Parts: sequence; structure tokens; C-alpha cells
Amino acid sequence: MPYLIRASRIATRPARAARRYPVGAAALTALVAMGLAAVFAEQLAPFDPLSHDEANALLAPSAEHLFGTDRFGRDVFSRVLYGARISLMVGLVSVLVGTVIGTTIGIISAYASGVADLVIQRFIDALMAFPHLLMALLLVVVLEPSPVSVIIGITVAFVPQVARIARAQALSVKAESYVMAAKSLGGSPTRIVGRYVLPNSITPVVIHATGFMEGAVLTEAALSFLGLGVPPPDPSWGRMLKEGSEGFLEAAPWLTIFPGLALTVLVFCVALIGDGVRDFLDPRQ
Amino acid sequence: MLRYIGLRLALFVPTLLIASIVIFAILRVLPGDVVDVVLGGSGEVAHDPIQVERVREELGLDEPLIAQYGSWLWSVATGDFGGRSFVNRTPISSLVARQLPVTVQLAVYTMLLAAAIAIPVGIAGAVRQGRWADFLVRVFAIGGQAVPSFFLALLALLALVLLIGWSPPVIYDHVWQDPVRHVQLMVLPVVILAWGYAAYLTRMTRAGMLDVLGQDFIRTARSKGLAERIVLVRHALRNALIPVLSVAGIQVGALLGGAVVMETIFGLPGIGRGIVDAVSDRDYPVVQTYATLFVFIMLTVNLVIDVLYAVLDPRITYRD
Repeated sequence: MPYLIRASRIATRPARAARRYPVGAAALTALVAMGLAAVFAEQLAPFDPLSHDEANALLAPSAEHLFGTDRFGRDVFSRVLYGARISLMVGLVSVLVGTVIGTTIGIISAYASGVADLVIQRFIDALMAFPHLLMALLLVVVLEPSPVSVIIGITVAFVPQVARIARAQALSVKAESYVMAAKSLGGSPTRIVGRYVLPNSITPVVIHATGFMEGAVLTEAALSFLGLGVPPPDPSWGRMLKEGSEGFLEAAPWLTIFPGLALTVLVFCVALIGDGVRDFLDPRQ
Repeated sequence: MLRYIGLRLALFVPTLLIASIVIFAILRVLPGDVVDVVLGGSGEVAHDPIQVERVREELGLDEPLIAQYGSWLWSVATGDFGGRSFVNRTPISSLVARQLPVTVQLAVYTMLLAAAIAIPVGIAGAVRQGRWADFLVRVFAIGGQAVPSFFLALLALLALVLLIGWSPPVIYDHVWQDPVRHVQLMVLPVVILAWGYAAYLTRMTRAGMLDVLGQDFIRTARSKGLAERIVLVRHALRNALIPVLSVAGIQVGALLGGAVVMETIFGLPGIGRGIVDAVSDRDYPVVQTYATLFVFIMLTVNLVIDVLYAVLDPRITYRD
């Protein structure tokens, strides 16, 4: 696994890695900064994101309210800061959980082969025929809107694709001579899968993981924008866009522009990191 | 090739059936009493027993699950599309007849426009690899991938109102009713969705062309004196398009998801907005049928793409 060696070099010599992958490094720095801003939102936010202040409703951006205020007089900058929590949490958790579940299903399917594989694959065909937003929307509505059901909905939406990718890779790894060698030496299935198949099947999943995170963040925002995601009053960028655009698009464009920009910057960073990861793990493309 | 297409067709119906069972299971088997959900509120509030009875009867909840699913399936097969809407008693078949064409038009325009942009732009990026044109192509691609379509739509509406005082019509007309208003309303959602969809196609076209242009048969084609245009289009593009097609299939889901949001923003009366309204109203019969329709569209587009695969690359045979 030469990429593990390269990964450790990146970890030990970040300056050199940053020179080699400048765009990815910059995007990663920005993402970490957003993560820190989300974690320390309580300390950084100048106002309480939930407290109403009708006297100061719909103020344009100023030195006091950097991003202006909404129709309840809530500080948009503080709400954007807190909104990063939902976006990042949904993105990270659903990608992590979805990747683990999807990879497990994919490898089991590849390794089991035969009828089990066939049945699992037909199910995955059917699940992959759902637009992500639709699957997430159905689950969120049935489970009652909450951050947890949004994460569940998005995770389920993305699992089949991960499983498909992991299975394809595991099938080709399974045919490698080192796996045959391990088998002929009497290695147990758990050992073969854990020691050989899994580590060698994970690269394409990792390459696609940033794509899933983009999708997860955008799906959460779209759900909230449709009014079916994270319920009020917790700020989510998608719902801020919905509330800002309904009747206030012209009168108070800052309600739309700032949460939208925050969302765009986050997805942009993840996409650029994804490009860097792809260059790094798969230099052929 | 016929065998390949036949096998693809044979998989179509079972996949659609499994997907419809999944939808049914999500709507009926997951925790929570459907009646409570339909009537609103949690189980603690007592509902009017007459209403409860009506909902139970209409959904056939006293029957076993298999019978419930069977009667839904039968009503779809006979053109009834799952009975009537809970909310306004409209037959679902007439809702589908009214709303499905809107979404199909939106999706077809978007795919055609995206292909018309992505293929030449992707070729340009590959031919001018590393130069400023290629840089612009990459900016175009990553922008389309990262800028959320609904944010872009709101910005576009805002900019048009502020700059030229124009906003799209509020009422939807089919192209055969009022072509001018149809175009005025459709142009923004189509362009915005097409940028997002074209982003992936452009990337794949560029990568595919770069891959193919380095191969021996391209050098042969050039050395026998073929015009560069013919080398690019007839020799390189045909091979480079194969990965583009597979991405086109995968991204249809994102396109339809985007269509749901666009229909909501622009007030297009398609099935995307239809399902959002139905979900908000807990109109379960409509949700079940519309969700299945979305899967049907996905599968149909992917079937067409699979056939195109076989046309582009005669070597492809069916394999799992």
C-alpha cells in the first residue's frame, strides 16, 4: 500500500505536501477553519442565534450585524455560524456511517457470491434507482423531521452507491494471486477479508467519499430549503435560504446571499479536497 | 447487442417492483401509525373516529400488508395510479397526466442542453490541456458541481429583478399553449440545472479524451493524414464518450433532485413539486405513486443510456 507511505509523509511533512497540492491544502485549511468556527460558534457568535429582537428586524449588513438581521431581528452572522454545525455534522456523520455500512455490504456481497450476491445486487439496483433527495425526503418525513432523521435519510440514500463501488473493487481484489495464496495457506475468511480484501478495496471508496460529502451537504440543504429538513428554530443554511427567499428576496437579499455563500464555500472546499485526494490516490486520472 | 438490450429490459420490471416495495415499506412498515400521520399529530391526540375509519378503509389498513401492496399495484397496472388524492379527492391518474409532462420536459431540455455544452467544452479542455482554455473549462466544471442549484436560482431571480426588472411568468404554459411564456419560464431552471449536470459530463469528456488521445490508434489515424476534426470526433470522441455515458446515468438522480427544487422555486407544476406538496400534506397515495414514478424515470433514462452504450461500443456484452 504505497499510498499509506505517502500519506504518512504528508502527515510528517505538511509544508512539502502543501507545496505539492496547493489547492487541496488551501481547501483543507478552509474546511478546518469552518469546522473550528462551527465547534466554537458559541464563543465566536456575537449574538444568540435564536433570540428575537423585533426592534432590529431586517437591518442591512453593518459593523454591528455583519450579515444583517432577519425578520425577527436575529443576527444572520451568528445564525450562519451555528448553521455550519448542521451542515458539517450531517456531511461528516452520514459519510462516515454510510461508508462503513456500504463497504461492509459491498464486500460481503462480493465475498459471498452466488445467490446472496445476486439478491443483494438486485436490491442495490432498486435502491440506486432512487434520486438521493427523494430517498432522504421519504425517510425524513416518515421518521419525523429532526437532525437524526436527516442523517439517517441521507445515509440510506448514499449507501447503495458505496456498496456498488466497494463490491466492484473487492471482486477484482478477490481474484488477485495474494488472496489465493492466503486462501491456500488456510487463512480464515475473516482474516482474508480483514487483512487483504478490505484494505485493498478501500481506495475507490475513499476517492468517492468527498463526492458523497458534497452530496450529503447539498441534500441536507435542499431538504431544509423544501421545509422538510432540520425543523426550526435551529439554524440550517438551507432553511435560512428558504426563509430569506420567501418574500424577502428583494427587500433583504442578505438573508439569501450569506447562507447561500456559506453553503457554496463549504461544498467548493469539499470538491477541491476531493480533487486533491483523487490526484493523490489515483494519479492516472 | 440485441441480447444485451433484452437482458437490460428483463431487469427493468423486477427492479421497478423491488423499488416500489421499498417505497411501500418505508411508508407503511416504519414506526408510527399511518392514520396518525395522515390526520396529523402524534398518537396521544384522539382523532375523530369517523375520520380514522375513513382513512383506514381507504388505505385498506385492515387488510394484510401483501394485499394492500397488491391492490396498489393492481390499480397502477390498470391505469388508476393508486386511486385518489387524500387531500382534494382528485384521481391520481389525472394528476400524473397533468404534472408528469412538465418534469419530463424539464429533464429532457436539461439533458440536451448539458450534452450540447459539455461535449465540445470537454473536448476543448482536453485538446488545450494545461492552457488557459483548459483552466476555464475546469472552473466551469467545478463551479457547476459546487454552486447549489437553488442558491443559483435565487441569485438569478434577484439579479434579473434588480438589473432589468424582469421576473419569469408565474403561470406555467405548455410549449404548445404559449411557446413564448413557456420558454420564459423554463429557461432559468433549465440553464441552472444544465450547468450542474454538464459539470460532470464535461469532466468525464475531458478525462476520457485525454485518455484516448494518448493511445496508439489516434497516432495511426493522424499519421495516415486524417483531418484533426475527424480524428477527434470519429476516432477519439466515440471512445471517450463511454465513461461520459455512465456518469450521465449516475447523475440523473442529482438532476431529478434538482428538478424537485427548481419546480418549487419557479412554481412549475411538475411531479417534483407534486411530491413535495404531497409529502407535506401526508397524501400517502400520491407519495407512493409519485415516488415510484421517479424511480421509473431513473430506470428509463438508464435503460436508454445502456442502449446507447451498446450502440457506441459494439464490444459491450451483458455482464453483471
